[in-house]
Amino acid sequence: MEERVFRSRIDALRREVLDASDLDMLIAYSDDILSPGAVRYLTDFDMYAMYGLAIVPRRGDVVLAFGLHHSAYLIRVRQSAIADHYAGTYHPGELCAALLAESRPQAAPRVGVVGGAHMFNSIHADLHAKMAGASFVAVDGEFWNHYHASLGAHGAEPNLRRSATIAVQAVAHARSAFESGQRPAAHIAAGATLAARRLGADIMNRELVQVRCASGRPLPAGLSPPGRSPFAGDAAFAIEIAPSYAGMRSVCGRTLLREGAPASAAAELNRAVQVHAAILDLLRPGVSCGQVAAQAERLARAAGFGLAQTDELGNGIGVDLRQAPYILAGEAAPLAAGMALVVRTRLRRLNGGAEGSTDLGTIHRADTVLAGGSAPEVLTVCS
Amino acid sequence: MNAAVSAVRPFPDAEYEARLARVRQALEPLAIDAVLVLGMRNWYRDHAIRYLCGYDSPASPSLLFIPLKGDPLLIIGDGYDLERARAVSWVSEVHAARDLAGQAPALLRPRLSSARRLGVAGGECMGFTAMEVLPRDLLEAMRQAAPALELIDAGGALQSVRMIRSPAEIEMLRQAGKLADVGARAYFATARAGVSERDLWSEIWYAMQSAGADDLHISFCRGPGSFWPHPPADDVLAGGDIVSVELSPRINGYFSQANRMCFVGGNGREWADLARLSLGALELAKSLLKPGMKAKDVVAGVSALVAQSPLATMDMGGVHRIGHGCGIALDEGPFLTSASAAELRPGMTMALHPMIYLPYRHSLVMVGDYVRISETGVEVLTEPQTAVPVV
Repeated sequence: MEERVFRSRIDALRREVLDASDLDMLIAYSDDILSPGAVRYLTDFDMYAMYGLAIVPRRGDVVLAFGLHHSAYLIRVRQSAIADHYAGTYHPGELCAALLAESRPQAAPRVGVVGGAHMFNSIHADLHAKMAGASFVAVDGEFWNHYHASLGAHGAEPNLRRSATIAVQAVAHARSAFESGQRPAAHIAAGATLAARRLGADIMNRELVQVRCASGRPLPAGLSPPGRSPFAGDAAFAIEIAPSYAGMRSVCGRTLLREGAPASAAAELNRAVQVHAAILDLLRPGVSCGQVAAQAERLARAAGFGLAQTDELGNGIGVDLRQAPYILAGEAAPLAAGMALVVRTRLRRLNGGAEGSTDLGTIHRADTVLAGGSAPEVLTVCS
Repeated sequence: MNAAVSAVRPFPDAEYEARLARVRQALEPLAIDAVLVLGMRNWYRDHAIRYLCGYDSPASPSLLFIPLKGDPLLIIGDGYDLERARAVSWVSEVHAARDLAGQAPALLRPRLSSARRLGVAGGECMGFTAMEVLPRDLLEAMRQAAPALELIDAGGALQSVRMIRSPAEIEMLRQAGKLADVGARAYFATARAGVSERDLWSEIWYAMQSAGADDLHISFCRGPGSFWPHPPADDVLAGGDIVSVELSPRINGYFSQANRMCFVGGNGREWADLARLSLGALELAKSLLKPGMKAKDVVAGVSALVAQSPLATMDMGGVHRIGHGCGIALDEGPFLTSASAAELRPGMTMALHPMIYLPYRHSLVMVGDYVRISETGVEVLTEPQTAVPVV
């Protein structure tokens, strides 16, 4: 992340979240390498291990705290992240208290916390003990609303678009491998992730391109890590690839048929693709997530499908693979223009279809979309 | 268990039953009624739950509840993975809970009604204990559901059981060792001046993944100013670099580790001295590793050898390191450091890689193999590096 992007994000955060919510300090926490969340957005820290804490007082230095098992790790953190100060510690409470005091807080200081629900309880206890006079407020909603509204303004959107392009190319690679008869899923995935990395997908000391697959006839509802078992020659194949580029994640998922598959199978897949496209078209500002989920169910049924969703139909995406808002029944959160979302449609034909016809099982399709004013923009366009 | 299910389980049920029996025995001194094991989707932190039930928590955190008497219960966070969780795990009762903190206590409450002490294990990472890393919301929900319940850290007891591998685990680790050899061959075939760490990493990764690795960890020490393994960067290999790579493939949840090294471009006598030092330190370490030895005594022997070199020191921040346990977790006990009084025992498997610091370069030389402590010494599970090539 460039210095100017870091500064613009911090300035905007102070203005639109800290000032607006009357906070003296905002603390963003994560301990999840796949979900670095607000810590990544604010400091570009890719959460190598342990935890990360971005500490943003209303005035003064922005500090990145992290677990430090050896002083050499500090070199790595300085290379990968940006902050005014870097602090390796297992007990960040005292540091936060000092920063809060330096920021000239109000008489009863207010500290906003993002990602605090899943915080290591030892860190939670340390923060509360060392800042005993402060009141702690969960500001996840405020932060993520700010994040989505800022996506286009502080350099994140181009990276998201590049990530989506890589996802599309990786899926195209997987399609070619599948159609040329390559098996098993693990081999297809190995080639697809190599293609993604060659296109610039983020790497670390572990795989950051997430791949999940399903194969068989009928296709199962769940996607799994790529397996090494051979699958039947006439089996369909579903693959979902989620690369990261400069910390921005995207998802592209497709169900593939072998060459020469029955016409009825191709027709069923086409119908499912149309339903999925219609569901993507629902992603418009002001519509609630619950409304999208309910309308998606109706669209699927009208086309003779049921939605094989056990969790949400989709969710926000960007610095995390899965972040707010969550598209599921009853969820009142409204979509806003510019929100980056992934929709994972899993369609299963109702009533088994006509006797003797081909049953594909669960048809998987996933796309990354920007909710737009006039129309949603699909970032992962491919067949 | 039907045939289709057995195809996705790396071990027979009897293996897990034996593990469970050993763990229960190890937990007895803690006087707990049950243990709650946390599995995080980050594979730095999924090892305890995977060891006990085979489930790998790929997308969301999970919990395994093991009473000291009675049947276990597995709760996973990802509803889409329920079918696979039931297939890969031998546990018969598996539930999905999208909101783990919100839903798990209700599932556990009937089983905790008469419990007084609950062990907590799993999820540990680099100095944070199982008790410390328990997510705040889950801890609060558990305390609300069972206010009288005393929580006890049981992570250490579980780790002590895991350190000694079963014959079935050793076989799995042999496969993992062979995958590290595949990575080593790809490394030596690719490394040369002008190749970026990123490209080198990608080629090694692809080779090991294609050969059967489920997941991997690769890090580098390269060039001046690099004295600790780091993730790959876009920087290119250049003449004068010392490139040490740590290859850690994983298969069915089991890691091996090999450290390989090369020099980029000619540097005559210095390279010869450093090659002799790094290979000699590794061979000495192998010869010293025996059951009954204390870790710090092995380290002291290697340090004495390195101390004879005017170029190098083992002292990095006051600690000398020559390796660590490695298997179900990438880095696990026992740690082979100058501060460790751990006693080596047959059945332990270790990544053995003396870390030799070169102050004049602010750099590192490191060659390492994956070894099993046998009844008499060590069995090397990776193909040893016998020379340090100049590429």
